[in-house]
Amino acid sequence: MMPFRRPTFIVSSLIKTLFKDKYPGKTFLLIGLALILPVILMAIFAPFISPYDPTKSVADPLKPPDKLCPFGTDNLGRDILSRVIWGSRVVLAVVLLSTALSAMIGIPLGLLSGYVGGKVDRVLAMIMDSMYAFPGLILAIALASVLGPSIINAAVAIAVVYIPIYFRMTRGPTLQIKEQTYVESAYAAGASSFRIMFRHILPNVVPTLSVVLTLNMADAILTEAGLSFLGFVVVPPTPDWGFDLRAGQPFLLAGYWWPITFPGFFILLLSLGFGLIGEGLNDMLAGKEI
Amino acid sequence: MPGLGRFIVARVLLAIPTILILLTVVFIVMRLIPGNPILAMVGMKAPPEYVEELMHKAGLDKPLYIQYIDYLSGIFRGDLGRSLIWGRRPVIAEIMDHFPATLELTIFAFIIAVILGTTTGVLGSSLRVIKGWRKFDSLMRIYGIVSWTLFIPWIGMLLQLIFGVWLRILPVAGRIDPGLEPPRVTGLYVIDSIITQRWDSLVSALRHLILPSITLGLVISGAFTRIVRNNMIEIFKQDFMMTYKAVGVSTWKFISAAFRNAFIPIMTIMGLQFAYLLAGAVLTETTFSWPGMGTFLVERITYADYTTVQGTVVFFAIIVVTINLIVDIIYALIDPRIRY
Repeated sequence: MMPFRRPTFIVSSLIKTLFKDKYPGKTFLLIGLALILPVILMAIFAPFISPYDPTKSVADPLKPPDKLCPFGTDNLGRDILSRVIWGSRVVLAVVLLSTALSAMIGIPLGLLSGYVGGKVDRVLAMIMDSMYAFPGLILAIALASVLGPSIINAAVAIAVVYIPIYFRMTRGPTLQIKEQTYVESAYAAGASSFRIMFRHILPNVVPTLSVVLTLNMADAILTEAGLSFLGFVVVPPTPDWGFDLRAGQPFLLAGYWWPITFPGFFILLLSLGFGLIGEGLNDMLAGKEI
Repeated sequence: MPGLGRFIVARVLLAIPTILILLTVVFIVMRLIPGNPILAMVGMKAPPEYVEELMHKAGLDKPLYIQYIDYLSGIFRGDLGRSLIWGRRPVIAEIMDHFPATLELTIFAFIIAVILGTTTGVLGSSLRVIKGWRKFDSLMRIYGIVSWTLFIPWIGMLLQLIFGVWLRILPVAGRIDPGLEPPRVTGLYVIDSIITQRWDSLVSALRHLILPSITLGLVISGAFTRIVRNNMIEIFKQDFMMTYKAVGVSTWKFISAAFRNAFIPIMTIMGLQFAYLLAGAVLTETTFSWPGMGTFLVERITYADYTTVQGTVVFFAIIVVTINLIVDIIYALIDPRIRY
C-alpha cells in the first residue's frame, strides 16, 4: 500500500521538485506551466473575472480594443475578452474529457495486447496501426459530423482519434518490460495477470506516458480548435475559440483584426504550453537535453 | 533482386488488411448517424415516397451486411456511389474535380516545409556539434515546437491580414483570378499553365498559392525540424564521423557528409507525414476558400450529402495508405538493409 500522504504535502513537494536548482528540461517545463496555468485559472474562475456576459451585446459592434473592452467587441457587439475567458472552459472540457477517454481505453488495451501477446496482440496492433495511419482530423471530422455538434460528441470524436497513440505507447514498453526478471518473479509468486499488468508493468510505463499525454494534449487542443473552427463543437452563441475565429474571418478582410487575433492567440498559448511541458518532461526523463 | 521483390510483395500484402480495416472504420462511423440520413438531408416534411426512392438509390434499404458488401465491392471497382444532391454526379467525379487543388497545395506546402525544416534542423544540430552553439540549437528546437503548435486557421488569417489587407500585395482566397483558369491537362494550375504557355495564369496561380502553402508549410515544418535535428545529432555521434573529423576535412564537407548519411531516414519519415499534411490541408483550404478536397468535404457535410462524405473519407484513406506504401518501397529501393 502507498503510505497515506496529505494532498497539500504532495503539491508542495511537487513544487519543490519543480523549482529544484537544476535538471534537464527545467526551462521548458516552467515556461510551459506559466503558459497554461493562467488559462486553467481563467476557466475555473470565469464567472468571477469575466467582465460581461459573453453571449450578450454590450457595446457597438466591432469596436476596437479600449479600456471598457480590452480585446474589443465582435460583429454582434459582444465583449471578446469575456468570450475568450468563457471559451477556455469549452476547450479545456473537450480536451480533458477526450484525453481521459482515449487514455482509459488505449492504455489498458496496450497493456493487454503487449502482455497477452499472440493472436490478440496481432489483431489489435493491426487495427490500431491502421487507424494511426489515418489523418486524425479527417476521422474526427467524419465522426463529429455524424454525431452532431456538442462538447461530449467532440470529445468522443477526438478520443477515438488518439486511442491508437496511447495503445502504441503502452504496448511497446510492455513487450520489453514483461521479459524483466521482476515480472517473472511476480508471476512465479502467483500474481494474477491483472495484478502483473497494473501493478508491475503499468508503473514502469507511466513516465513515458506522461510525455505522450502532454504532447498529445497539445495536439488535442489543435484538433478541438479545428473541429470548432469547422462548426462541429458548439452552436452559437456558446463561446469557443475556434468557432469565434471562424465567425471573425469575414470581418478580417475589412481590416477588423481583433475578433480573430485574441482567440487564436489563446489557442497558441494553451497548445504551446502543453507542447513545452511535454518537451521538458521528455528531457527530464532522458536525463539530458535532446 | 529477390530480396526487393519479396519485400514489395510482403509490403503490398500488408497494406490490404490496413485498407480493409480503415474502410470498415469509415463504414461503421457513417452508420452512426442517428436516425435516417436521407431524412436528415431532405427534411422531415419530404413526401415518404421520395425519401424511400432516395433510400433505395443510395442502397440504404438493404440489410447492413449487404450494404457493407456493396460498399466494399464498389470501392474495389472504383465506384464510390453517387452524390445525393445536385444532379447526383458520381462521387469519384466530384473528387477528381477537387483533388488536383489539394495536391497542388500539399506539394508546395511540402516543399516549403522541407526547406524550412531542413535549414533549421541542419543549422541547429551542426552548429551545436561543431561550434558548441547550444543556445542557437535550443532556438531552432523552440522553432520546431512553436511552429508545430500553431493553429493553421489563425496563422493563415494573420498572413491574410498582413499581406492581403494591410499591404494589399497578395490574394487571400481562391486558387486563381476568375477567367484565368488554364485548360485542364493535369488539373494542377501551375503545371497546366506552363504546358499551355499561359503566363498570366501561371503568375496568378503562383500568387494565390503563396499564402496557403506558407501557412501549411510553416506548421508542418516544425515536425521536419525535429526529424532532421534528431537524425543529424545521431549521425554526428557515430564513430565514422569522429574519424572523418580527425582526418581534418572542412566544416562544410563534414556537415554535408552527416546530412548524406541522415538523408534516407529523414526523407522516409518526411514522406510518412503525408497524412498529417492532408489533415492540415483541410483547415488551410477552409481558411483560404481553396477549392480542394477539404473545402469540398466540409461543404458536403453541411448539406448532409452522406454518400459524398463517405466517399471522400474513403478516398483520403486510400491515398494515405498508398503514399505510405510508396514511401516504404522507395526506402527499400534506396537502402538495401530494409529489404531483409
